[in-house]
Amino acid sequence: MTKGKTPDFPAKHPIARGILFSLLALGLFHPTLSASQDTKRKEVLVLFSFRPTLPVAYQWDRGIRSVLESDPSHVFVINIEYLHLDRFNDDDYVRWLIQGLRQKYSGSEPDLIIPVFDVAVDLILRYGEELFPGVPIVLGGVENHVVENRSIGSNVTGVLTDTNYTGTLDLVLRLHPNTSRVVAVAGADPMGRSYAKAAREALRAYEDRIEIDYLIGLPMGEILERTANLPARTVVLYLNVLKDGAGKAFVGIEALSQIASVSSAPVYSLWDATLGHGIVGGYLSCFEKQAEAVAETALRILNGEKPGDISTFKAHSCQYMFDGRQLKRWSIPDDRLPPGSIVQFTEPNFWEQHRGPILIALAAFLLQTLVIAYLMYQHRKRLSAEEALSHSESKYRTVADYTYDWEYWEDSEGRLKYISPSCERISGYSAEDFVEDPSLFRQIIVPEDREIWEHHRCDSGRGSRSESIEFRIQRKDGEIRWVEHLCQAVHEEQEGLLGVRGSNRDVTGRKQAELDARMRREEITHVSRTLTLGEIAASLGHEINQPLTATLSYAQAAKRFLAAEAPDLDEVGNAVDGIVAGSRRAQEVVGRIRMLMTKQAPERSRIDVKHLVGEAVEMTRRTARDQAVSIRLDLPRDLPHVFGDRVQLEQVILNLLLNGFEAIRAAEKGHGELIVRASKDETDYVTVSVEDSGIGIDGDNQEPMFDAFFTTKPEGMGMGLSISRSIIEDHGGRLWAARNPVQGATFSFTVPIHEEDLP
Amino acid sequence: MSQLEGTVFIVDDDPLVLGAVETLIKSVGFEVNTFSSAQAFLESDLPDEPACLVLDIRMPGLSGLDLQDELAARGLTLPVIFVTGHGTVPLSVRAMKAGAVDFLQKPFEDQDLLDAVQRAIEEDGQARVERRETGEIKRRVESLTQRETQVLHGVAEGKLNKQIAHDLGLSENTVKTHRAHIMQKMQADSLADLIRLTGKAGIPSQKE
Repeated sequence: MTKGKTPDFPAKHPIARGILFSLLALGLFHPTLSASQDTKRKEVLVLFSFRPTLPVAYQWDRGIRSVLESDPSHVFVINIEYLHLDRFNDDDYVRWLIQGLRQKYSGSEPDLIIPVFDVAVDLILRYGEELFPGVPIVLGGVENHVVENRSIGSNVTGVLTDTNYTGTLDLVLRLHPNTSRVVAVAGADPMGRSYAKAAREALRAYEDRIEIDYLIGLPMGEILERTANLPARTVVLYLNVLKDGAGKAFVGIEALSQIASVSSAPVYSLWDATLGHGIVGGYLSCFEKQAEAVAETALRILNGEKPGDISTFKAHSCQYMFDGRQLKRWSIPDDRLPPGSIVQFTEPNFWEQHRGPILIALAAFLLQTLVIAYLMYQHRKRLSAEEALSHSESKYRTVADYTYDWEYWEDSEGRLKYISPSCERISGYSAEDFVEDPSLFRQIIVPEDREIWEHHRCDSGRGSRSESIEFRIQRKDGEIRWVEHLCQAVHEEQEGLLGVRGSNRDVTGRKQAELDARMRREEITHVSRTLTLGEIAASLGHEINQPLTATLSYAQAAKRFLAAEAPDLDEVGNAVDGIVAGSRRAQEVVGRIRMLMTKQAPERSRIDVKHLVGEAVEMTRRTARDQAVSIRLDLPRDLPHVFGDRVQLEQVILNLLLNGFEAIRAAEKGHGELIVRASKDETDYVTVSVEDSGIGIDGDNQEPMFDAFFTTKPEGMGMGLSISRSIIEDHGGRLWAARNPVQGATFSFTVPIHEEDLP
Repeated sequence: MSQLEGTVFIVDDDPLVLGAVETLIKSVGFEVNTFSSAQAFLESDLPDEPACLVLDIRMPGLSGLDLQDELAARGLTLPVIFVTGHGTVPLSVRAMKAGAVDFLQKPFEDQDLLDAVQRAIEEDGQARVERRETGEIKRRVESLTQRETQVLHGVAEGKLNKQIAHDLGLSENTVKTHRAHIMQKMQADSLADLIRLTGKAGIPSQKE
């Protein structure tokens, strides 16, 4: 069929064009309008035996609609008439019904009629021709016997219900092998009776195996009583109760529920609509599927096939279906079920029922648990970190508190944050004292040393330490102690200066030792410098004196003893022993003198004589000033270095200088002059001479001067020259004296330039 | 070897010298006791016969001069002879001023020491005798009665009997009697002797 021709557009009238266009659009899109050309509109009249609220009604409605409405080539108007023949079935009602139908559909005769279930089918078969002559009929939901012995017109076909009694009974026997009895329950209504009849026929073959009781048309009360008190090994087969023996009308499902709840035996049935209302299950036929089959047949007819050409057939709608709750109730294990069984209503599986919320709840719970676990972990970590921190803090505090040194920590603003208890041990002031009075530390520093403290800095660069400084403090009890101070600025990557860490240590012991050592060194140096002078002479003099006195006394005692009339020779012997002992002691002393003079190991090195002379002269500066003696130096610049022991040679020069002073003083002129000369002669020796303007020496009497103990001085011991000469001779040189032409004397000595010339 | 009366104490920390001086002094017959420290000497007992002390000055602990002072403080009049290796003029002056018998430098001539010891012993002997005597006199004086003592004082002052009698409110005869008793108790031979004795006892002889 071709689409309608597009009418010519009157080009000139825009409005007309617009209107026509709109109409066209409407026409194109309006289904009905379009349909009137292309798609067929069919009216289908469904005659449902019972009231619309039965579950089976929905099933039939759904089944039919789903098929018909999915057909693209038709537009179906489906009218369903609920005949309520379960409740009302008297003749008057029927007549009224027919009348009503006739009137209702007089104007619009259906294109097809679908009667469902026995009573409607019966009605149509009787009054169909009268009402709707020639209209094709597709019946559904009836047993074979309903149409079997009837002459149905050539406009009738149908889909028989496939209610399968044997299938269910076989199933029952499979699941309950010990079954000895089956009780079939049906109502007094036509449908119930119809089912019962069909059942009887179908199950005849089983009667030799098991007993089959038919409770048909009994009042509900009795049904309930009977089913409640069933003997063992019985199974109930529910057929349908729409009206009981007492005439009470039931919704089939309702009746089933009642029976199933009181039944002492498992209840089975034959239709899927019953599943969930108390039956265990069965080989259940599905009305919806039957409806679909019916509708498909209707489609075929509406598409042109003749009903007579389609023979009635049985639907294929049965399936093994079970109620999981009932399976559980009757303890029927899943593995006994036939393969491909459908199990519905599996028990409150709280889980299955509320799977969504449960999953969500679970997920939420899980998440929460995770969060809690994480928080707890964090908390634990923090606690353990805090604990570790406090532990390490207390550990370090212990270390700090127990530290022998006085340590402190200042924050970046210079406030004292921590001070170790040792501060009290070292300074006498407690930690509280320092915290209370921030200036206390500076106060206890001895005033002269405060500058050292002021000038030091703790912030000398990152990571580097400040130099340690030393100063004295006055303890609380007044005692002065030396303190060594060290501090370090502490910087943090992001935070900059964190503070200053400092420590103070009492180093009085060390300082004292240092001072002592220095003093001793100076003393030694001084002593070794003045070794040739009166001091050593005096002390050694005393040392020599002792053995001398002893020797003399012993000798003189011996003489007296011997002079007696009867000499006590024991005493004499004793005295002589004493003489020997004394002499030995004197020997020791001399040995020590030598040792003191020469030191353990004479250190030989290259010496600048000018330096030596300069130092020696420097040392006698005061003496020179006191005695008004001027000292002149005559030292050539190119004087070569000599080789020898610096200290010893300096001693010699000193000795000569001092002797010069003595000579000048002895001259009693009130002033004098010393001239020190040095020169190199043709041999490889340097000559140093000290000329004085003193009293001079006896020209003939020079040599005795150099003997030990020779002295012209009343107090002197005369060691100096003797030692000096020893020293010079040890250096391979000579020491001699000469009388000056005019005044005074000149003492000279030579020292080699080359190391090889040293002995 | 004849034993001379007297003990010589020697104190010197140098055992060699100590031994030598001991031998020397023994060689002339004196009894010798040696000590190597002043402290040791102070802790010992002094004998009851003439003695003297030969002493070194420079000793560890109590020096010789300290010992001299200590002896004076204790009221011991033991003569001291210093023998020292450290002889300076100020030192010797001080020692002599403090009453030393002599001050010798080491090494000394044996004769010098021995002479000094001799002198010291004699001096000590003398002093002992004197002390004894004075002690005896004092004892005699104490044996006088009060009246007798008063009379004695008067006699010592050169007063006549008449004056004494007047001063004390006694009769001349009584005074004479007292005088006779005094002479007896004091064991004086004559007035001059009595005066001498009272002088030794420390009773003033003239009105002062």
